[in-house]
Amino acid sequence: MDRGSLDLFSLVGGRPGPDALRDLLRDVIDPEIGINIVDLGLLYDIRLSGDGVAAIRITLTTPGCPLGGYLTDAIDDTLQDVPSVSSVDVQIVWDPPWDPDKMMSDWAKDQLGSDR
Amino acid sequence: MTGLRVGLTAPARHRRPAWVPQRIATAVVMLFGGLREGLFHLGLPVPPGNGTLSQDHGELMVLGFLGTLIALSARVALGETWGYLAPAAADAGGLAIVAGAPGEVGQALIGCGGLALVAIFAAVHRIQPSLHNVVLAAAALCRFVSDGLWIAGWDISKFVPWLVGFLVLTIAGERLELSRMTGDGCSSPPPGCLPPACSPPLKAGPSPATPGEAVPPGIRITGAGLIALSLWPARYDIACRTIRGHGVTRYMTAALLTGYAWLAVAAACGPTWGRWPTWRARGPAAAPATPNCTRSSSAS
Repeated sequence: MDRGSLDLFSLVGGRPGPDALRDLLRDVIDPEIGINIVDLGLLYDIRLSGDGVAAIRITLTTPGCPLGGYLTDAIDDTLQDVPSVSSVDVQIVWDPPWDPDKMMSDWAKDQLGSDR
Repeated sequence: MTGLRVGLTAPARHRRPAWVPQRIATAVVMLFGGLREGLFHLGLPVPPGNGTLSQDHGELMVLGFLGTLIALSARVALGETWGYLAPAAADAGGLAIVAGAPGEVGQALIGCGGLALVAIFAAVHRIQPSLHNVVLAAAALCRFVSDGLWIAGWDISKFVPWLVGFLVLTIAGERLELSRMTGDGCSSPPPGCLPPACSPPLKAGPSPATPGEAVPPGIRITGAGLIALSLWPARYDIACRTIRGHGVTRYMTAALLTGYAWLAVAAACGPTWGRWPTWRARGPAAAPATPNCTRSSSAS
């Protein structure tokens, strides 16, 4: 994992924005698909409160997917070392339902051979 | 993110939920118990198990061992405490069979687990209705029917199509869900592929063909459907893409594709020989290669 951006945050004592945190979560890979949750479109929302709580909203490809616990822990592991993040709160939601057509990145579609 | 249709939040998830290690450990006990009995019927010098296990090790492997793991996966996905009834009942029933519990206690417990698995998929379908969840629920129904026929004393050669339906439809449902990522605008197998694959349960019951007899049409259709299903990944399954990945992703994909190959081999057995391979075992002294045994095997 590239911690360069985190080191920078440490040096300047700043707070990472949502985009920086989102980039870090590209390290969280869905093991069955081999693609990160950001490009799969599973990451719905990410916010960092004033007291350092990172509130993450993700979904799964289906409510029948058993990887919720794995991804929750992987997100927690990824963000726990980020300066100014005191805790991580991951919520899995089904609203709206995941739609690969609209939510997967072009890169992810290309990786999976999508011809859309 | 507009167009909201459901407003549900999943229960909190944990990577290692309570009870999971115990359920897996019990499933492993079933695996070794069933394997030992299988080796015994193959004629290898291993000590035989108890009488019940000797009769039912084929059912134990599918409904007990694999049934427990599939139910465990479904329960972890749903995240509801009551869902543990499915794997807990299945592995308790499996343990009862391995331990030689009297009567039909083991079969009845496994049957309860099958019913609970249907309830889990019904709950998942209520969260997000989808075709793949319907297929998974159909698989669970196949399992429940298998349990019932097992308890009713049917010979496994008569209800092995229901067992096949349980396993094949479970995998088909899961791969159907992932096939949405291929962007083919087709979230289901080619027309006519799944229906024949689903047809085994509809034809369960008729005796398999004996040598010299014509192969029953149901076996031909089912075999063709299963072969078509085994070829379906080449076009629709993301496995053909993820096999180029690394690590655990590639490992899981390789295992899956190997399973598709074995499905094709098994599917070809029916139309070729006129029946599915559930030969009767005669014990170590006289047993030919017997990949499975029947309820009557212990009497011989």
